[in-house]
Amino acid sequence: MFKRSLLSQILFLSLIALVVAPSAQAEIRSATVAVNGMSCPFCAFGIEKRLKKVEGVRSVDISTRQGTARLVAKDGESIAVDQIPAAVKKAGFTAGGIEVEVVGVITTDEQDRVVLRVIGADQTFLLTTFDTTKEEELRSLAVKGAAVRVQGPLHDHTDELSAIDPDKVEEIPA
Amino acid sequence: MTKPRTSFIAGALALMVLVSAPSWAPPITFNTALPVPKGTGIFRLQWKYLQSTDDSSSLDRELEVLAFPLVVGYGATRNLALFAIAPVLDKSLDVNTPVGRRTRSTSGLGDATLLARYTLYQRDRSGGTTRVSPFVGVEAPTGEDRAQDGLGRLPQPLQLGSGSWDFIAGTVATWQTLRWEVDTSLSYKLNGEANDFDFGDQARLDLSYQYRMRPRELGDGVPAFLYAVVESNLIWQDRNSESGLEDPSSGGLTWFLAPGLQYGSRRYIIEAAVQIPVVQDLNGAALENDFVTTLSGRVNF
Repeated sequence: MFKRSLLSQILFLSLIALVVAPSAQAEIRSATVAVNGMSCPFCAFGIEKRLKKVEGVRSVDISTRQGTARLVAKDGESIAVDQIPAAVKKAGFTAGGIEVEVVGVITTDEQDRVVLRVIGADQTFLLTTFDTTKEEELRSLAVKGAAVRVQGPLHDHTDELSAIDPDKVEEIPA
Repeated sequence: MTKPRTSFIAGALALMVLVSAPSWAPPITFNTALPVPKGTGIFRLQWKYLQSTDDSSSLDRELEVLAFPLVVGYGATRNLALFAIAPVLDKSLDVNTPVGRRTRSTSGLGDATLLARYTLYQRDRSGGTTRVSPFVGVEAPTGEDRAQDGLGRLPQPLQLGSGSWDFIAGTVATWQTLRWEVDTSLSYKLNGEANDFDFGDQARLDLSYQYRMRPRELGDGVPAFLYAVVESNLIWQDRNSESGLEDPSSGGLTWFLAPGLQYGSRRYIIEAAVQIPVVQDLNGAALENDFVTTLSGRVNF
């Protein structure tokens, strides 16, 4: 019975991966970090150089006006967002908030929290919101075990998991 | 004649320290507290021209100094930046002598300086930063300090190097926003003795204000900035001494104002400034400076 259940879960996740893969090869597809202290074009070089060393990053686009750096993932790879604050610090600046675009499977965990399991990476994010309508929408997607693309700010939530406050949740059609 | 010979370019000598000041972003004529990111380097090449011609004494001295300081900076850690400065100098002095008017000149590598700067205070915010960075350094006697010409040994201030180990300490502070930047630096240079000659110690207070003229409004990406720059250099130098005797025609106070322009992209900076002496309260018959022109380029690598 256990074996059959495990097998069906593997098949299910494999199916999800196959469905999602063509449209979403990278799982943490992009991340935008606020770089506090960046005030001149000459400063941007060092930030760009350090952020390009973050695992999974293909390119970095800096906006001096907004004080942000947008990291885009390499094809088929996921951005190691946990490395971003340290990279900004090594460049001599201070990392502010990080916004991410993540592709994953939405579900609930053993504590009945809505979570996003990142496809292709051993990473799970809590999805948190104070908006009850959005909460209901997330739960209905979780019941379906839907593959989704989520955009929103990343923040610390518990010791074990980081959380995303989703601004935008888009179901990826099967 | 000994004293005039040793003191006649004392005022100009103070400027040679300006030549060896490293920078990261603005300002042009001295150091800044902005970071050199860990693992990133900068290379800076300057062209400086100093002229002193207004000599009312019978020596009618005319001094020209061309300097090409090469600066390499490297971010050793997030807060610690190391700088190496090697100036190439060309000094030429026209002077009346008992055997007629003569030109005495020398050229080659000057004294190299190693500096370490540590960012002690840092407060970053969106589109701005405030930093305070103490620095210490040593000037090594790498330049020729016993050069001679047809008239004999060149006076010590005309030599390429001092022959002594000299020590520098100071603090630089930077306030930067997307629109403007202010830097200020206070430093002291303790000059050692060599060849029975001791250059006077030097203290200086520098201030720089930069204002972004272009682009007026920031667009997307990382546009290049054009800054209008005004800098102030207040330099005091103690009297030199030779064989234990102070030279009354050396040292004094100089205050320069330096308007300039700076164009900077993410990879390089080009800049120019002219230091104009507003006050030259020099001791005795020390030769005053007409101006100092600086052209400079910096590259990130």
